Amino acid sequence: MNVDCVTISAAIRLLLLSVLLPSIVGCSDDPASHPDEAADSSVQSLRRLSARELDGTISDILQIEAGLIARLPADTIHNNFDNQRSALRTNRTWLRSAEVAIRDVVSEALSPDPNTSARYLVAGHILGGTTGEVRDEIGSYGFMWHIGPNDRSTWQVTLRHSGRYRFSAYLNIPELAADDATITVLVDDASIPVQWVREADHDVLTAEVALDAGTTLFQLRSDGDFGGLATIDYLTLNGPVDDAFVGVIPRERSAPCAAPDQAVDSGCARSVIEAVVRDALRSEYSAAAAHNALDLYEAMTAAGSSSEDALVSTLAGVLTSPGTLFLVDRDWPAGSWQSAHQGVQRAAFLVWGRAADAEADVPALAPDGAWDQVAVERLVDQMLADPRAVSVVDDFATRWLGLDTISDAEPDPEMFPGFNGVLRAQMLAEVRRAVSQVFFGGGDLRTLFTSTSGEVGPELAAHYGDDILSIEEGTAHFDPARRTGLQSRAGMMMGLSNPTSTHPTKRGLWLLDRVLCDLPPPPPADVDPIPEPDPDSDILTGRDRVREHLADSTCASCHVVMDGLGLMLENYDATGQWRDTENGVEIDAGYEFPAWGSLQGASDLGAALAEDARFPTCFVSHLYTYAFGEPPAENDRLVESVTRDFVDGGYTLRAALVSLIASERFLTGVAGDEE
Amino acid sequence: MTRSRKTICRNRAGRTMSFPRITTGRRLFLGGLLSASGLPLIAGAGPVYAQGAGQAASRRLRLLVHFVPNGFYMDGMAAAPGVGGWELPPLLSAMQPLKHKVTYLQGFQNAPAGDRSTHSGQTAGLLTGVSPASGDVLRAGVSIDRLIAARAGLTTTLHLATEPPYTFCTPDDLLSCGYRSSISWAGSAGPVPNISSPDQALRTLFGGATGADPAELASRTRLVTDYLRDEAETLRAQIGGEDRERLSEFIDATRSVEVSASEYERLSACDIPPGVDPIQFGVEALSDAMADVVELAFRCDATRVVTLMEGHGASDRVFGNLGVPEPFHYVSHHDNDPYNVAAYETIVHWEVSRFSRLCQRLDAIDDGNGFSVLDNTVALLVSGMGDGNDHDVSDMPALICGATGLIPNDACFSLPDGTPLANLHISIAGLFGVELDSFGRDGSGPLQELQVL
Repeated sequence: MNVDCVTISAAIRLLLLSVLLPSIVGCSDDPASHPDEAADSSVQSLRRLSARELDGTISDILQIEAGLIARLPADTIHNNFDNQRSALRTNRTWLRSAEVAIRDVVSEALSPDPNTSARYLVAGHILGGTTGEVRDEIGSYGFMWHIGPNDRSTWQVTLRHSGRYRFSAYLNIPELAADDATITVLVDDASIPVQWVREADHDVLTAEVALDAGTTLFQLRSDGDFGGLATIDYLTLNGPVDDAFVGVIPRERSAPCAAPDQAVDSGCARSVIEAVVRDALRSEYSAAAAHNALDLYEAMTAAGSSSEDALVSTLAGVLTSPGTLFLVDRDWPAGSWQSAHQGVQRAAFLVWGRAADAEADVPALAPDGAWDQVAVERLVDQMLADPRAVSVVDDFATRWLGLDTISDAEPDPEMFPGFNGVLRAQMLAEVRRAVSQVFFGGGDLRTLFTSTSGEVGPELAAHYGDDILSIEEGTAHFDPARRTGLQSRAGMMMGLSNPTSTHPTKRGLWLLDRVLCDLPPPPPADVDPIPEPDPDSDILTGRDRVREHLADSTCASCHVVMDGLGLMLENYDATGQWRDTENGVEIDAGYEFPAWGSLQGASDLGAALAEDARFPTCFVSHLYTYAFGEPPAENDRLVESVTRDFVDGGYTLRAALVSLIASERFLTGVAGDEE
Repeated sequence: MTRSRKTICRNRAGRTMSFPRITTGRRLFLGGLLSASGLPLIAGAGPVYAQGAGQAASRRLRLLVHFVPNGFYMDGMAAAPGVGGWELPPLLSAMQPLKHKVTYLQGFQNAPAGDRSTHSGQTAGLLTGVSPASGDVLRAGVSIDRLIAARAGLTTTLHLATEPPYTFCTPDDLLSCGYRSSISWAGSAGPVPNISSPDQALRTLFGGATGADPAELASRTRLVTDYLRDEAETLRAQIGGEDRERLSEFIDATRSVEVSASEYERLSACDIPPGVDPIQFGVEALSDAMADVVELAFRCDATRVVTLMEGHGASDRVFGNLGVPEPFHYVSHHDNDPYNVAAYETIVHWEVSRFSRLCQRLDAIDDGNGFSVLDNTVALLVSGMGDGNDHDVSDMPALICGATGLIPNDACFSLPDGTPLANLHISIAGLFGVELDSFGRDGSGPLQELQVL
């Protein structure tokens, strides 16, 4: 095994810099602010990191894509989020899985095998595939694309490191395929030479290709007839496969802990351990904690373990220790390095979904340890400008608004033969982009419900058809009467439908729960689902389907609003496509609400949602739940004050974040004077 | 597996589709017939399980709880009680090859779960026999699998799922949707999360057990667990209340990390595959891969307690592979609509066939002394409810396969009205030598029906 000191590059840099440049990690001549000095504090609360947070944090420390989300038991979703204190426990099953998974990751980080997996792949997003009329066996754990004639499937990957990678596509090509049928692989629109290999039960297209760090698009283009049954079963990208690549840093830049086939230098190993402890334990770091980890390493080698095995086990132990696994809130003395460090870390988990880098981020985000309004505004601006802030869309907004329902929706291929993976990907991209633009552009969040423009791909533009008045540089300008706000976007409407029909009640419930926080009481236990529309009966439209809800006074007390909201969206079918009629009957998207009066369609609904006083409090409550890992109490004073700031600040994400992060409760876990 | 005929169904939208239709007779037993067991109780047999427990003590007994979501179409689940000559009901026909090792129990009630007559309450209440707490705290007592593992000194348990937690859900009856994701509950430690990757399940069971000296491995893991405990103790000393409990939970959990040299030796002697292809295609392939893991885990004695959720408690999965385009939960509320009933039956039949397939594989493994692994396994097939149409918890079926000789096999019982499901849990615990006088809110004692001569 080859172990590079610089393999744990960030950690080592921190170690060196902390010696040479004490101020960069917040040290000063004041002993009370020195990282190695313990300050008096008491723990206010702690919660385990979610698998997602742990994955990001350990990936950054080891400079490897840890892949822990797939390696750990799935976290229980509670209060709509995956990071809730009461759901994130460390029972035996979880800890056993975590210990094994983290040990595997450490081993891979110290001794990467380019032939086994794409360990340096930051993210792979399926932008689109193709489907024929058969669409069986598509599940949450894997995807399969059917190759149609003259079709294309697109895969977007993001790489942490430049280098040569081995791309492979595992295909099933039936004998029915025409002799002249071919598949071309394009990398960022340029075709590359490939080899066909027969491997087990797959035809494999493989190629070695030089890729730069960052985003790359792979496309598989089919030409000719594949007989209708050809599939792309999966794609892999392994590497880097460069000879010089022995870790996350090329060999020539590293100071190896071990030459090839030689034992790890123990002095170097100790340096790595100390640096990892400092990174992993965040504000819980202490000199004693580092000594304990070093003692563990020494004990292992004394007991006969090789220095390599001891290093792996020690690092795995540190990364599985409570200081790493738990987010600990203490009431550190104001102005102490731990106080600012803790504040930055809490903000990082909120905005970035992962820990901040102690070396690079903490000094930059809290340079003088101050935590006042000005300092927090600067911190929030810096954080939102950082690429890691994508987490606030991918994790917070995705769960807040239920964007992932778009990924889960499975429109019936018989009823909606035009639906395919490309369309799904573009639907998801459109709503994510809409949220990103408002979040990061300093926009008014209410425009999420009133916007009449959006970025759409070509397939989605075709799906929208006449709903688009014009397209300029990928931005579609919609007919406001048809497409106003997220509540009219094809992806959301599809995600809130059944495979074969719309679901007015589910759509209404979505708005009540996620936008207005005004859930009705639970339904009776023996309630039947709403019937499917049936052209041979008197149940022809969505309004007919919820007729019983509205006719029964007991049901109507809740459904009058819930179903009403959904009925206003009945012009969007189960793939979100506009329709004027259903089963030959003209759709009536008008509704008379007790509070809002008479409204017509998504446009009126968007205006009503934007003006509704429940929305700002609702948004802040969701943000609070995500930030603190538990929902606020009823009439919580912090929620009230953050809501005031959010409204006064123009309904921007930034205003809400600044107000929340600047609060004493956020910094110390203790209610402050401002409340 | 018998799929007797293809039925062409037409749904209300007027579209036609076909999927395998299970032959289902009308409900076989009604009213009073369900109120009494079809078999005489065994009189004067001494302490319940005396013989079974004695046998169990000398056998390497395992527990497999195989959960299926959204209940059953009960017309297809009714069977006439009997021993030997009884007939499997249509929806259990896939169990025919193992009928001689099947014990089928009809008519359980899980009243505590009925307090919250929803998927959340019924999933979390299934193995705990309590009504889960509402509010922010997720608590549902201790499930029987955890209790058996703890009392019987079984450190390693395995909890698997073939479907990830839901993505969009609103609380039902004020109970968090989080309750739908786990059937295994650890008391104050809350839900036991499931592993949904077969590859990771293998790593969790066997990780590190190959290619190293067992004594050295054991020494290293002991040092690591000591370190973890020391770090946790240091932090625990600084906190109180519920957070202190969280650290105690962590400290207890470190026991699962510690593996003895003999365990390493035993595990490494097993023929462990290098890994499972992490990319699984669809419902059936993932189910197969999880069954592989269970088989390996039991064959290698890597764990003796496994729960497997074939979907979360209100699964909305679409079984395109079975030709059913509607979500599972939707068709389970069948309202006696022929189309929905046929789709519901198709899915339930598939679920039972998965369970049967796994049991047959366990039955093919020699466990010594003339027993197969299945013989030494209490393989329990259950759902959180009986009929999914109305979330019924007053008439719930449960099927045990295996436990050969420890309970009456090749037998079907109709239980007295109101028999608590928790009594089944007490009975199963007894097989593992864990004697319980009560369990959950209404468990009052073991089932007489499961007594052996």
